[in-house]
Amino acid sequence: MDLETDAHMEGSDSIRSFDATEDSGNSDNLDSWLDTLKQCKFLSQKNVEKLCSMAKDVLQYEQNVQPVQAPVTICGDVHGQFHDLLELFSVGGPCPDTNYLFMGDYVDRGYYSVESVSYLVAMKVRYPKRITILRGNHESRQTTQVYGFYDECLRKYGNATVWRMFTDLFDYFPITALVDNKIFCLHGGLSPSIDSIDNIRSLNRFQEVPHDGPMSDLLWSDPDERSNWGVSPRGAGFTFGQDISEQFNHRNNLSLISRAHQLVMEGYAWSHEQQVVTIFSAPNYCYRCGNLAAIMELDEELYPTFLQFDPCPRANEPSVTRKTPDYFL
Amino acid sequence: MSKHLIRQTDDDAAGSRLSCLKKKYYEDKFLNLFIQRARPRLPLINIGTYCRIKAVNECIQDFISKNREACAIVSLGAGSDTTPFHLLPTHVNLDYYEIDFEESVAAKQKVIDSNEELTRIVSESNGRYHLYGMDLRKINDERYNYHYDLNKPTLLISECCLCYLKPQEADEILQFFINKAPKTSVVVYEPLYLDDSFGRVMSENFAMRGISMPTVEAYPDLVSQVKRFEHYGFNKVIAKSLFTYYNELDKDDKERISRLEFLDELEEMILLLSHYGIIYAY
Repeated sequence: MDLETDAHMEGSDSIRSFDATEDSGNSDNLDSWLDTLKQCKFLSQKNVEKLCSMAKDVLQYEQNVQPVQAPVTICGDVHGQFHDLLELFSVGGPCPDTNYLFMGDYVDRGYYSVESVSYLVAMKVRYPKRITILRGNHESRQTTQVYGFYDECLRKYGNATVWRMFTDLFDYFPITALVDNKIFCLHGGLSPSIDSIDNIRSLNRFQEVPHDGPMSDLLWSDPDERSNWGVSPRGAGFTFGQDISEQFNHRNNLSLISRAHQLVMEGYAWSHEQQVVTIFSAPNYCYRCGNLAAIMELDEELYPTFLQFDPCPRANEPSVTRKTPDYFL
Repeated sequence: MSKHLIRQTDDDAAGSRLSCLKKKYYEDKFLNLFIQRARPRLPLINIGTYCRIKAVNECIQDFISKNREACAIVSLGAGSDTTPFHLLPTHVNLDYYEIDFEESVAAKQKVIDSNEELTRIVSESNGRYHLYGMDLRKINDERYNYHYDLNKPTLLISECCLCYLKPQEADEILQFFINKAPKTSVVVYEPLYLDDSFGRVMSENFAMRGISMPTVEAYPDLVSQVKRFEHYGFNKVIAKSLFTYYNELDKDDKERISRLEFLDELEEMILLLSHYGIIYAY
């Protein structure tokens, strides 16, 4: 039965830890932090603290509906699959040459939530106009305690301080974005409490994701084949039908709702007669699902091109004893 | 597959059951005697484990209710399953046979001997409980000439047991008991669809743990599973995926388990549960 308790360990976390830039705090060092992270090494606690403080200074001025200009490449869930995140940037082109918009769920489930979220936040601070990072339902205190980010922080830093710093920072993330006033981007979906995009602007987003209400819905809802609003089987948010998407897009003069949140085997999926698109950017999600990942490139005319990608070859991963996901044996 | 690796799959299953039990999906007052610690499983694993336990139990209950006068259950690769200890005291006409590797059987016997209640249940069963140690692949080997009194309706249970064997080995074992028991029923729980993209990753992940499932390759889907058991001459073969079973849980129970834990998404659970099947043939 010892296997039971040991199986969760990843191996040499404490050995491959820590960058060498312990005393640096100014933005000149962002590049060296990014270099450290690119090698899948996590930042020291002190540097995470500096990074989060710098990120708050940037994110607090962003809007609930953050305006974004095309061309931009839109990405879905990452979920701590850090090597696949690097693959995403190699498929989509390096930032800042390419503009990016990420629609949340950077942490939980994968083995490298710390590295993934640190990297994206550092990119945000380094190139604030080139990359937009929205909040997903996993960027919350409650969800991360069940699905891995909390445990990973504890394992890598020996205490919960880094988890607290990041989850405090998540309260600052914008919750939606609007590309050229035409494409509405968010993690989950629509809310029965929100008719117009202006309703979102008046929300106070600087808080833990609530259990219900408009902010929760935006991060939790899913499009559905059934019309109208429905009870979500997830226990949070709603399901919304094509009629709802059509009304919302018409009322707000939108061409498309772009969202993430759901695993789709091809990495992207249209629904509601191309009123809604789902983008999912974690290939072979949870090292279990066998799905492709995708990102959506929007050109200046907002014409979408989807780029699909497979998991990053395992040979490129560092020599970590990878735990296989659970099945029923 | 090596004996050691197959035995480990029981530790894994017991760990999943304990995780499921700790979250209050179901109750089993004996499980703690067999396993004391387990890392918590994800909600989707707990839900699937619950469905699996409940589905197999329902087949057992259906079988017993149809054969109250006298019947037998033969559990193949029983491992640390506690079902006999729940059933024997209340079903006085039931004979229960558990077969597993000698090491597993010895470990189980040790737990029984060290616990007063289990010892009492076994002794009060008056010889209706049988714990046989052997490699099932040697079922026709005369050295394992165990006694089976199966001249009564008999239910064979294989919960992820036969799937680790080659199709001809699995067939030999089924045939052995079907020949011994003129009126046999079977419940089989095993993976399906290892040939789609989710299933291929599942096979790879199994392979990383040294687990292979040659029988699943021979019966890759529900249709071929139905044919498999029709071939043995069963009149009725009910085959459904674990996901169908989950969908058909009664509304109150589904609501109850949805409140136990917070399930962040459905798609992964649908995929996983769709890759397991419960086949009940009688």
